[in-house]
Amino acid sequence: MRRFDPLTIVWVLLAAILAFLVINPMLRLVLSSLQAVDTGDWTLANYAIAYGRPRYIQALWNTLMLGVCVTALCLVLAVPMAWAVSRTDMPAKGAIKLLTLAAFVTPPYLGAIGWILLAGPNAGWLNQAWMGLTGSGEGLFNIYSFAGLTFIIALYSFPYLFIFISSALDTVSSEMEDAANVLGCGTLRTMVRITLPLVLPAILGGAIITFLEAIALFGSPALIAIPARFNVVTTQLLQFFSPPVRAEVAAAYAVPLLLITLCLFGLQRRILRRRGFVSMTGKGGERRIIELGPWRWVLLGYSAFVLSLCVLLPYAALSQAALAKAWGRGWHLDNLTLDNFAYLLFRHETAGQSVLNSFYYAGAAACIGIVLTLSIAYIVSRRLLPGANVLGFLCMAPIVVPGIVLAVGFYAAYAPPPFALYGTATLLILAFTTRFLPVGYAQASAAIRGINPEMEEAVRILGGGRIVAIRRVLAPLMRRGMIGAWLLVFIPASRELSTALFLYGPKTRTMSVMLLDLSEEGNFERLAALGFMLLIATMVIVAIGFRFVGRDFMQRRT
Amino acid sequence: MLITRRTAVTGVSALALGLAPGAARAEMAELEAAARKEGAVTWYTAHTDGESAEQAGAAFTKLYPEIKCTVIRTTAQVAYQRLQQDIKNNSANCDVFSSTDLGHDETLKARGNFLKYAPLNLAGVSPDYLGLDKDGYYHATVAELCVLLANTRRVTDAETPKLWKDLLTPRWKGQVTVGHPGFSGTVGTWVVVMRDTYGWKFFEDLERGKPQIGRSVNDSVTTLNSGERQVAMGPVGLAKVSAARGNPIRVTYPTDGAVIVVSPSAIMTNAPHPNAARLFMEFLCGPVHAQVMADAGRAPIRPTAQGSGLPEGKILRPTTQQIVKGIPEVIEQWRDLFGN
Repeated sequence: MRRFDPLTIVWVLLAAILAFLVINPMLRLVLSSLQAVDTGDWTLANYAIAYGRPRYIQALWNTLMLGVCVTALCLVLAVPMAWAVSRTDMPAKGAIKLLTLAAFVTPPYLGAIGWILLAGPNAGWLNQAWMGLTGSGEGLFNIYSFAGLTFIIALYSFPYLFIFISSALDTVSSEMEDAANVLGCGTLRTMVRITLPLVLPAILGGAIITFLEAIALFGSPALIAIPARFNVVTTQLLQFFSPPVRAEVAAAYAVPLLLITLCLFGLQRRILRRRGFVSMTGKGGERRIIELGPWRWVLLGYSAFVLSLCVLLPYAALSQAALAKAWGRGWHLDNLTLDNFAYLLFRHETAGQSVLNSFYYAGAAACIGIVLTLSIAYIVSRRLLPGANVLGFLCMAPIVVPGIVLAVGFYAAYAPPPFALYGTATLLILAFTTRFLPVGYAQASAAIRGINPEMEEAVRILGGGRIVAIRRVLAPLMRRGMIGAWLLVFIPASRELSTALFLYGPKTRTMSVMLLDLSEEGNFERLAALGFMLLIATMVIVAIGFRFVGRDFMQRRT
Repeated sequence: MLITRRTAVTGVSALALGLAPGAARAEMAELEAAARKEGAVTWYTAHTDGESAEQAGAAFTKLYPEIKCTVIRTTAQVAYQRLQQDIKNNSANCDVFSSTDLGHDETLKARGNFLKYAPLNLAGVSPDYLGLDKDGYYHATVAELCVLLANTRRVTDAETPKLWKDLLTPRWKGQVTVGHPGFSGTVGTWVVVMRDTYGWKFFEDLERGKPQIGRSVNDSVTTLNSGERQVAMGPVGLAKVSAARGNPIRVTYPTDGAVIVVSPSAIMTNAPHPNAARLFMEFLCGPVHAQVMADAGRAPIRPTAQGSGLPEGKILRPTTQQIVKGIPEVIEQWRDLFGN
């Protein structure tokens, strides 16, 4: 008979934690959508209310269209740039990567504010310039429109796709491209027919993540869609939380989103099934840089254009607003002031606290998430326990749950008694941990798989236990990878809005919620100043991360 | 007798609160002592813009440095939503609740969420603002006027709208901005008054003029400042303060009547700091707050505040019943018409 393995206890413990973080909130979401709120009887009435008005269905349709359009636009933005950076001799790759990183760390709602300043139909810089140049009475762009919303969401979502695709392209060797060249294909045809199909899994995976991010955003739609007079699912969900609070109707409204994402992942499996994407043969395939000749300048121009849209222009507009008494008056000496920063730091009771809250919750969530995913990834990869794969699956499961849906689930599960976590820091930290569990797990398992078990076995042959092996061999080897993973959880968690929105209380306001509260009054000067405080703090943390792990922490590990 | 810092502060604050001598003063001193022990008060407010709310909180803390005042400023409907979430989850956070939508207060009162308290400082309040709640649970603590605003750089004196209906003319197509009744209680009250005066057609016509819809009523002022839009319905207080800072804002009292929004405050039954909450209610009804509000361009509830008093001309004041019934209706009508 097999001896009882003490690791079983660890397995049970981890499984219990994941049940708490992942299974229970989703279960409660689905259950509460099917129950009458007072009696607890089974009912479909919540669905009837949630889909009982044309306005509500229109919002769902708007969201789906938004997701599709954003994803398509992101592909257009990301694919040429990723290809150029990974495979070609385009100059200034370092700068392009750095600016993409800047786009990645920019909270989408901050970018949206930058673009309101740039493309507000009458007062936006670009429209003012257009009217000045042409003498036209009307501006060229209207950010307050469906197209405007699609555009700004895409600008801050495409870095995901960029990371996915360029990481995949980095591993494709040139042999197959060479074969295509020998058979008479030009560079473009080779790229379209050979290179891109080889990284189709990465493109599909990235596209699905982009779609999910786009449909789950709250901040940008609140800023753009309300003045543009249309609703999306997230703004509609918030209405169900307006008095009378109908959390169960919100749950019913959110469930189809969950089904849609499940279908997407199913579709991805179907497309990828029975096709070979093996490009890493382990036989040292050579990677050759493609020489583009004069075209490399075209690609550089395109990349610079895209990045100036998502980083340079909005940052210029935001810095003007943050330093202005009234942003519409433009750059004038008498319009310059540091008062917006002074107000937030010294005269505002809660703004400073909200900054600290954001970093505290994000840091705690990143720490918990990394410890948890690392333990699970280790158990899975070393096959220490039967049934370990279940744990790995649960870690990846939240990827199919849009942030706002997760928040509704967490609200249903843990806000009321017996847990009574509503408004506490614990609730926010746990929700952030769950939300970014898949990111942490992907990183952790890649880092562990990259370490040959023979090294640990050597420790054990020499008489050291598993703990010694982990502490003296594994931990030092993985330090770099883990700091990178920590940052990849920390950065999005520090600016997370849609999850925080339903879970925070007056003492646990995060900076993202604070920005939203300030935005109600349309006070862009102070919003911009608060945004800059967030950005500067994030940049400092990223810079410290660079020192430890180098710039490559953004690379996706598969 | 030695005058310690403590007695000095108490003396000053009792003076500042404008108390009658004798029994009331003793009562107030007792309340202050109890409030100091609690050391904090949390205020959910939609009464003013964020900056004025922070100023009011700071004025309170200046009077009582031992009591930390946490100001949570949002639009009325958002504040109410958060309060509802608090109540539903049995989580007591809010001490004093200041909405701009009287309907909130009526509902909360009926459900037993309000603590009945008659501030001593009601003594100096102008009769116009007394007795807002016949049962005495909530009390008017500030008032605001909804008026017509224009950007002075783009709109001449002559063409500035003078009547509410002037906003509907083709001249202002694509140039109007207003807040959203689904967020702002002040906008909600204005929409109710316009609907009940001119019919819902007013908004159907407004919709054809493609207005920009903000959330807070204060959003109008920032949108005009930026030059994004040219004319607006907006609050007189923030507009005056903003104009005094050099922004291009012109205030016009509509000849068919400015809409007055009288905003109440009340103490929550489950207030975590019940004594500090009472003291804060005294503050809200007292002279210091009245002066902070007068300086912020609002209509203070005490006639003694400098710069108080309503302007000449017609003022439309809806009844409590009109607001309680009207705002939920117009929010639905609005969402159906404007789509957001």
